[in-house]
Amino acid sequence: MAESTSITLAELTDILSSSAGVKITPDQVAESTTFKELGVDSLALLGAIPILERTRQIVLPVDAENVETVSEFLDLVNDTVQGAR
Amino acid sequence: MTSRTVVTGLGVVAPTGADTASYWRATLAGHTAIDHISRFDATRYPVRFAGEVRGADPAGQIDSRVLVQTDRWTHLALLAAGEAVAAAALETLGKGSFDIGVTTAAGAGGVTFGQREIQALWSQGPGHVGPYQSIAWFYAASTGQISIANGFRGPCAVLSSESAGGLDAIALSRRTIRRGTPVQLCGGTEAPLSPYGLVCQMQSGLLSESHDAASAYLPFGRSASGFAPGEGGAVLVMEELAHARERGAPALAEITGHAAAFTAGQPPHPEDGDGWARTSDALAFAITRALADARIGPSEVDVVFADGIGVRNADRAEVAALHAALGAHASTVPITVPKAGIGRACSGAAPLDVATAVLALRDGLVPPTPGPPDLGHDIDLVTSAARRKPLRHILCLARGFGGFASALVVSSAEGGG
Repeated sequence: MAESTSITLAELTDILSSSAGVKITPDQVAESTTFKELGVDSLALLGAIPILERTRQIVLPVDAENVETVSEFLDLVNDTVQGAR
Repeated sequence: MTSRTVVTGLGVVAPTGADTASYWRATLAGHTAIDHISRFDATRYPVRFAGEVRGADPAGQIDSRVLVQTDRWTHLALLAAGEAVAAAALETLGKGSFDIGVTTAAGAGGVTFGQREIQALWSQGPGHVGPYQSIAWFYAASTGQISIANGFRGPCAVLSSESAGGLDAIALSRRTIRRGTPVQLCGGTEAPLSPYGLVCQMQSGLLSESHDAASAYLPFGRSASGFAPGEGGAVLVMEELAHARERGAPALAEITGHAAAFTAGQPPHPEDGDGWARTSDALAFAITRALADARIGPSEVDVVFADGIGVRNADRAEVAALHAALGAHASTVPITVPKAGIGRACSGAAPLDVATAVLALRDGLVPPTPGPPDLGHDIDLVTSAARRKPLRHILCLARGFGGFASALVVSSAEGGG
């Protein structure tokens, strides 16, 4: 069933933890923090994207894995969620 | 100055011990860890028993990011490599060194990881396949991850010759050292106990279908019924002798000879006595060449760590090869098969044998062949207890399914060359 609630930072870090083994907590993430700084590489993001897409029944744009900062990525995901309502 | 290759460190992950010291204690005592397969529900399979690594803790020792992108086979390789690197104090050479390369033997590769991803593909669709399948499954994953984890930027390679791969990888490392790279981390591990992995191995017809763990792997036994598969392996630090001396790293043993041969034609069915008999000349050739490479005569072989497939015709062929290559000495040279207690871990088996040989040379102790005495061939098989004997040269044999036949000579650190 499609859910239209926003994805939180906590949910994103949970997904990254289980799919990529990257253990980060929301308090480690500031507005400008990049995935690179957190040790999340492009493969890790590639793995998280299909999981995110499934939880909200959305399709993210093709270059989503190239977004550099966590906050930009979350904005992109949630914009897509809002657009799909 | 001729290059000489010595062993300066060992790392072991075996069903009988998750590190070198505990493995060696269990091996000297003739322990066996062959038990019911527990990695998956094998009740519908004719093969019931295997040697599984139970004491290792990949989750506790490997970075979680690496853990999710690798198969268990690579987890075991990383653990063994970690122990070997520490034992040889390689960190003193600095991270990012071009002087250290990695060579592993690989066989089944990431079968458990791969099976899981393929199951997801077929039952749920392509979107459910993770991004790490391609890097977790393929042969070179363990070589690559060991190199990355340790910053070893010297020549790296992976070699695949089934159960002979371990000996051949050691030989390849020795050639790499001769070509100018002073240190090679070398060995192999295997974790082939997934449904797919087991079924692949069953194709050879050589796996035991015994209902009793104690008779699931009886190399050279009268009641031999095949072998038990296994998990685990070993990683050795191989180093050019002058380089080891210069940095004060003690040499544990020397790799003095190797040869590989191939038995052309279809692998014989276990019941095909003639077919198996025809395979013995390839192993005999490998033994003869390896001894020549080591510059020793047959009578100088102090112990043979046999391949020991545990199928009557295969064992007979191995004995015939020993007679052809060692002459009369084949009847009296002590022969042992420590892997009878842990199963045959394909790419991990021969590295484990070589690590065991290094320890045997160090301590002057020949480990026994675990299991009940049941000798069905006219050889001096060391059973029941470890045998104390001054040792200078050990001959390790390995045959890989498909026709591979290799021999390696490991010599004591002082006695080699």
